Amino acid sequence: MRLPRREEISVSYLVLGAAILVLVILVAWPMLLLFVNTVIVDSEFTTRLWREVFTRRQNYTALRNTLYIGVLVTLGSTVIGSFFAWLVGRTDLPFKGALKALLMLPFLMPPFIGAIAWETLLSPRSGYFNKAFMSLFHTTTPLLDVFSTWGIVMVESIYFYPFVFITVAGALERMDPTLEEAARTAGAGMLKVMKDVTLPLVSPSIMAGALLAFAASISNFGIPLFLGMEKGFFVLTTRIFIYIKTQSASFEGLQLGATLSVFLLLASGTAIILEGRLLGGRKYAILAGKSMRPHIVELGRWKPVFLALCLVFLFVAVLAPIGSIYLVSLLKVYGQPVRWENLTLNNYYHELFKDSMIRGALRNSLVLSVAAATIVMIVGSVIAYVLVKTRIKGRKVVEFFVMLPYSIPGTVVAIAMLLAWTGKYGPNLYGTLWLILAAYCAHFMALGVKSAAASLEQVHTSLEEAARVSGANWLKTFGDIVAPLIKPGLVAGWLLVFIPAFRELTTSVLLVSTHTMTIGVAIYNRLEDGYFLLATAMSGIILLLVFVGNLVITRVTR
Amino acid sequence: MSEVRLVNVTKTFDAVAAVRNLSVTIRDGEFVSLLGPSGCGKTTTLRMIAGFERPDQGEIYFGDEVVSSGEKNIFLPPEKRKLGMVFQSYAVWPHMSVFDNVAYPLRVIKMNRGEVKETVDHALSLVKLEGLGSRYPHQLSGGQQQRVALARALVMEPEVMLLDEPLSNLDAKLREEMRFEIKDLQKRLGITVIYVTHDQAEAMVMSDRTVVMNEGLAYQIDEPRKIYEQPADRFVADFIGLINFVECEVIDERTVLLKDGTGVHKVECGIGDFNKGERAVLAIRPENVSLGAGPIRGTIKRAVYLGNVLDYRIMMGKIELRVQGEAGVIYNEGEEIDLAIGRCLLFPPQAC
Ligand SMILES: Nc1ncnc2c1ncn2[C@@H]1O[C@H](COP(=O)(O)OP(=O)(O)O)[C@@H](O)[C@H]1O
Ligand SMILES: [Mg+2]
Repeated sequence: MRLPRREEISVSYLVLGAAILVLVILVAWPMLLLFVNTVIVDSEFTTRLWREVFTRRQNYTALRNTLYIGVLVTLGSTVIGSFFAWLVGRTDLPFKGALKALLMLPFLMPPFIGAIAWETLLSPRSGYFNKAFMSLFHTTTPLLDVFSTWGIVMVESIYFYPFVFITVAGALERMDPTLEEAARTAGAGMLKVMKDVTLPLVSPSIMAGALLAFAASISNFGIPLFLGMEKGFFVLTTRIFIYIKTQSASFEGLQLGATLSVFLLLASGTAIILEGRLLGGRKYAILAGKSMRPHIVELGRWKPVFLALCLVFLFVAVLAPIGSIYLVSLLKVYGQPVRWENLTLNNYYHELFKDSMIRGALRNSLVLSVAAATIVMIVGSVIAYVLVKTRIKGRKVVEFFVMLPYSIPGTVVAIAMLLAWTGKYGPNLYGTLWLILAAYCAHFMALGVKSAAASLEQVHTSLEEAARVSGANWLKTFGDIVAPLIKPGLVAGWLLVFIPAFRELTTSVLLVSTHTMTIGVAIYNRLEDGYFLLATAMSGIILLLVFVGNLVITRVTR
Repeated sequence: MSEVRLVNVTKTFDAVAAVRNLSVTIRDGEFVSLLGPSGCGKTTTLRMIAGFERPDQGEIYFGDEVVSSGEKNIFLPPEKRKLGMVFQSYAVWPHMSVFDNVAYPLRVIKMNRGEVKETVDHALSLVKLEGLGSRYPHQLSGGQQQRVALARALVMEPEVMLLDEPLSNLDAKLREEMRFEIKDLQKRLGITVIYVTHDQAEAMVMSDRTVVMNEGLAYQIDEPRKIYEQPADRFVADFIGLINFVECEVIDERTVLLKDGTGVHKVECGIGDFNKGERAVLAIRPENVSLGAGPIRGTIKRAVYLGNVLDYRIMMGKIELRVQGEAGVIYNEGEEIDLAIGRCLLFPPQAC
């Protein structure tokens, strides 16, 4: 008698083996080299690199700045995120749906484009907010200088509060409202219920969101690059960037960068692991399965106040930067007042049709992001299938390697790629798109696996089993039942990878060469070369693409 | 041919023994229920028959053919077993219409279109879903989805049907209705049915025989009536219907002695394998206590009117008895009455 089930098991082991091989090439091997290269120089064990990194004053300063900014941004994000999550989740504020969608907008904004946008509003002389402030109060001191520590903290808080907002809003939505109702019937007032029941129950989610914001802040590169370097303010990511760029072509510089990046890795890794623990441990205790009517707090006569607060915040922090970037991109000369005769479409025309460097960058970014999204979704679905639907041994190991780069800052991924694939330990991919593609695939693999796994989990096993007893074999079941059901999820997942890959800066800035320019790096170069208006036009194009892409995602997943 | 035989089947998950050494033969055309509390291994048993789990040990035969054998490393995959199966969650495919759901097994064997239409229409009429073929699952009620699942399982005219708690997600009235419809279908089509349920009433009403399971073991395999009247042990007696357990002592072949804390009572009862002087547990069904006359005196502690019967809790000294009496004669709470214990059974003291 034939044993098809056995064959099937060996097929899944084969597939798993292939997935592991991909992960080893993309993740495990480069990460191993990252650690090895901090203690081995010229095939000898040495602590020289560590001593060198430790004896540099600038490195201490960068580390201190990173943590300082990280802590302040975490506080800011947590306050903003939790407050608005409660406001749109648990009060009788009007237009909650629309407010919620608008409050999520900063999440879509690439942080480095956010930095450019805020430069148009808060640069000390020409920023619109500062100019308005100075003329209104007849002063020469600006409201806030965006090129300062506080400027960086504010801009990062605005782009990272959605991490807190999403986790807390989710927890509030899923919390069993009868828990709060029980406290009300026990005689506790609205405020007391919030303090004694609601807050303790959502506090793990607040903490988790805060840790995500912290990790995002310390691994961010674009904002401190655009807002900090001007005045010589460095954090770890920009410091590593300097190591690589100023000592480029030297392996020594790379190794020093690697040593410094181990710090970054440890800090963000710890935050992400803690976050997983927090939600993993307590999640199920307080959450009811079905979505129920939440317990609504009546704002009463405070309603207009809260609504006004919400609208002012949305205008100032969310809409003004987006509007301002488009406004500036239409100017003939930066700093001109916004009048009809000063407006032009030339910046867009130039970026899209005139400049071959930009055209090359657009083409590269398109090729890279399409390829990365496709590879990640194919490999990711296979891995997700093994993780979600099978019980074969070794899947935990795979899960670890998949989720590993999720917690690794893009800067660190880039350095690991440079170590592994620039000739010293095998093929030299430097100067080719393959190097960047490998980095993107490693960096976004977790995102692909997560979205594929999320759609696979929706497909109850009995749906597959019903096809099996109907006479379909494993392959036919996959084609007829599983594939059609997860298709929308996979399309959304593809876009979720495609969009951030298309406008990527952090990783590619360390990996590009003249022929492999990406669009994110092109914008950076525009700013470096002083073409501010062209940079805003390019940012405007990218933003449009991001917003359209996200509309498509909400469409297909609805 | 459509006899299903399990021989010493064992399945362990990690440390949990889900099914232990189960042997049962389900005869051609028979309706057999697997009954037991949640987690006792019913679904696992069904899934081993369907081919979704491999037994660690033991064999499963369809007629003379071995379909699973741990020892001989034989395993026929589910798609080759030619079974009909209805899942607890219905497992109706949400991206296919009712017609396509039911037609799927036929399309797998590449039946031609005309025949598919005819066969599906017939299956839909069997489950009273004529004319709903073009609907999608989200446009159907729970009961209708249930029928789609049933039609899909029946469409290939399988000789054996497996059903895993198919009615547990329906409301009480619909559940009652579907019990009879499923039973009726089974009789009309003459198929063998293996039916998983945790609802004893369902098992009683529908089955020719019932397998009472607990912690992976089959405690008793018998007709419903036998299971109720002659439960094999204390677990089965307790699980099926209501029952009182009272400690007692065997005094001779026909009599046991009850001590209720204030006095002693002699009760007549066949003692089976028990010896004189041994301690035992007396099991009495509520309807086997007659009220109004008898050697034992008790006090009504609670009386609950249930429509067709009155449900009493009666204190017999320090022992509380659950008794059901006719609705014609009503005793009030606090009243003293005489009672007599009729049919009863003896179990060993510790067994449970
Ligand atoms: N896939 C599985 N992995 C691990 N344990 C399982 C699995 N399936 C069932 N079990 C365990 O086996 C036991 C019997 O389960 P099951 O057959 O589903 O019970 P029932 O259907 O009678 O409620 C339970 O303790 C359950 O937790
Ligand atoms: Mg079950």
